[in-house]
Amino acid sequence: MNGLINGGWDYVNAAYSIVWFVLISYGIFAWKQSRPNQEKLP
Amino acid sequence: MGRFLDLGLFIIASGLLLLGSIWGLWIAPPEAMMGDVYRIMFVHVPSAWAALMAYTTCLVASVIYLFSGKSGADHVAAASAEVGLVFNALLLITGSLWGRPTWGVWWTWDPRLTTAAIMFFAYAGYLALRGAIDDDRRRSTWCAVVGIIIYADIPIVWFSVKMWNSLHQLQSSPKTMDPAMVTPLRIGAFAFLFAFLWLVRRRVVALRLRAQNDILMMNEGDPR
Repeated sequence: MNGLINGGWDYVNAAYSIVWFVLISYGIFAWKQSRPNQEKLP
Repeated sequence: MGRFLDLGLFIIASGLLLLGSIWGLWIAPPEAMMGDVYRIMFVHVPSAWAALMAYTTCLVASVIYLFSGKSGADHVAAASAEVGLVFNALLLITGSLWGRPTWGVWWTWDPRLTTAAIMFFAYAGYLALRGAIDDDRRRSTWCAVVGIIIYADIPIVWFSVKMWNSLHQLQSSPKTMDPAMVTPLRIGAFAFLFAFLWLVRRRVVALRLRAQNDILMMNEGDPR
């Protein structure tokens, strides 16, 4: 049985895509920001 | 040691996220009433748990800072509030994407949704406050106090579905779910837990580096 809602996959794909995009983007940001910037340090 | 821990957390979080997505999307069976759209639960519910865990960490770190005055606790509070806000945003977005096909609306002023939105804006305000105060001591103290006060919303979010007549369903637990759906939810929960730990550790390192950099700049007479 496929339930009472048709076209649910569009919403599912959108939700998973957003979660992956946000986590990867924020992960890259967090990783880059946590690396020492040698130019600023004496 | 720290580097291996970071690498381990990153690998476990990435692996579990991948496994949880595959399981949630293709292995778990469709739900009897909602069909496939219920699969959003496997990222929506872990987002909620991760956000609540992050905000609780912020509360504990804020209390520790007020008692000890250690900058490390302040960094943990700031990092966990920021990471919590990211999970909170994912919670609201995935919830909205689930609400549209099941309730017929992207958003409704239901008690659970409203209190979750208040939680988001409260912590966004907390981070704005962090950016608005220049003096380190004052910023840390004020933010620790605010971090404790705004936590009052979290129990309200949690119990909102029980206290009021809410459109949102009650909390899901393994006891109320089909065993075939429990496994991907558990994988998702652990994936978000390890992602939370890795992200907070990275953000704490970044905040510590910035604080050290500010001290060095101050000693060199840089007016920044």
